[in-house]
Amino acid sequence: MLPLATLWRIARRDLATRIRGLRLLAVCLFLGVATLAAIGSLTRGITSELEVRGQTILGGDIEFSLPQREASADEMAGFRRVGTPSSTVRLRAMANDPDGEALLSELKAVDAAYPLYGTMRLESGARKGPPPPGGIWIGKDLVSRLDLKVGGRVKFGEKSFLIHGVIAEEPDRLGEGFTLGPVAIIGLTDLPATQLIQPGSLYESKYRVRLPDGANPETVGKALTAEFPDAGWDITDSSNGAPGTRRFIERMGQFLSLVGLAALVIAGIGVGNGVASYLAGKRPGLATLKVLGADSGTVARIYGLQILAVAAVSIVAGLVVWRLRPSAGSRATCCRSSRASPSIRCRSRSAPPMAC
Amino acid sequence: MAIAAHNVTLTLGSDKAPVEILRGVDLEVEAGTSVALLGPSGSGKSSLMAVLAGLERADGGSINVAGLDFATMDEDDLARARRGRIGIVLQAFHLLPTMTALENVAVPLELAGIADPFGRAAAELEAVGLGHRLTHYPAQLSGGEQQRVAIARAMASSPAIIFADEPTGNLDTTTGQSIIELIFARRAALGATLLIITHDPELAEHCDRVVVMHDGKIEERAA
Repeated sequence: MLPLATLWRIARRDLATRIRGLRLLAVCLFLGVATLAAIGSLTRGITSELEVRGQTILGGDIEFSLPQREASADEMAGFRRVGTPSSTVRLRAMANDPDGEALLSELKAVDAAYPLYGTMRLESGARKGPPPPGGIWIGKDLVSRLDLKVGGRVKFGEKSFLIHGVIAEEPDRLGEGFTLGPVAIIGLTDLPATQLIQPGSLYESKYRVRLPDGANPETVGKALTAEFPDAGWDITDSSNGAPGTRRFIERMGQFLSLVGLAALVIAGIGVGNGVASYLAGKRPGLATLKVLGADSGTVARIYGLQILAVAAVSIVAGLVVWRLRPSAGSRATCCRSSRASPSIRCRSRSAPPMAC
Repeated sequence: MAIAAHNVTLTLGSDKAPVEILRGVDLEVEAGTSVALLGPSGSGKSSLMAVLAGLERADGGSINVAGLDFATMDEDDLARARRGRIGIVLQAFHLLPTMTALENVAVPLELAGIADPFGRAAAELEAVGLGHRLTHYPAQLSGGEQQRVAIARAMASSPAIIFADEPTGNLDTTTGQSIIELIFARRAALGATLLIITHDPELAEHCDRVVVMHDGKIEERAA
């Protein structure tokens, strides 16, 4: 067999002036690799960001979620024993404006410790704890759809609230998962006055706990579950602060990868035809090579090297695009987040923290 | 003996309509001599040359070329056997259009594993008078120049045997004459055996022997 260097020399000379014949192969592979790599890196970028911001997204190091009941005194004592708890209650309720118009909203009652991580931000600035008694913070959609404004009033259940601000950023918004309407936040002490919590009401109590440094959320969760085996709570820790979002992103990434691969397979038919047409055009040259002493294997290796070279260059070009895209994508995603929360600095595994 | 072929037969076409191209050809060519193969179109000259050069496999008979038994070799063995032993000049030049004159001449040297292929190719192109056309592509060369490149390509590896199939067929008379002179000059310089197919009796006169083919057989051997 001839040395690879000799074969490559002949293949390269022949390819240099006739690369046009393999354009389809190059374009398909370039686009396919770049697309698949971009899908993969975007998915990884988002999921790693979810990991990095897990505490803020969850609103604590560990969350105990109780459907349709509040924690008992013993359970609250247990939460306090392991760290600093913050209680919230979330339910769907109709927001009524003074004119009688109503809109389905997500009403969230928070305590004085809220938020344990991140910053609750109104359009007028950052806030800690709940709104003043009798006050409410409302989401932008609620403002626009019910034509409300700061200083106006909105009613939930049997209680009318004074609007103290418009929510710019709710730090644990992503961790709250799917919602049916714009959010409104009140103090936990005002919740009974709404009379929305009745036997059979659909609501969810969440107890987020900030743990001391070095404490393992998983161990704490297991210990409290062992202590209260009948609690029936769902436990989420900050390593997976937004499981629903993470699942969605991962599945979307898998789906897009599958679509990309299917497109690549379909394009493969065209690529195959393109390569066949290229080789058909090379038939006279191929015959000449055989006359000059090239056996079948040598001819196959020469043209195989040409196709491999074009494929390799296309794949590398696709990967180069992939290397460029994550930083641009991360920056864009990051800047969108930071517009709402400038205190958050962006990090990714492949790049140092960057200011936006 | 450079070429020794006995009772060579070749049949092409389908089983239902076979065409006998070569019908028991016997031919012996001494090493270092030149032989002209004459004959009318369709007499089997080119087919005989293809069989002797290992481009086509005979159906029967014995073929010994440059000391190798071509009759028992498969297509790939024949291709490898040509490397460095056999040079072929064809009527239609058959240069690789994607390569320069220098690269075209270097290809058989590279395939034969000969050292410094580009240096030897450049020297051979110089010898055929194309030292100033090394980097030109076939499309940038005249017909005569392309045939000179083809001759350089055939001669560059100093083969023991040269086959030429109507090398002046696509050229005008003046250019054809210069090509013939070039082929014989280079052959003489190499001391190679030459088997040349032609319709031109004047060209045949340059050769040591003239062989005439008719209807797939050698009918006449003239000194």
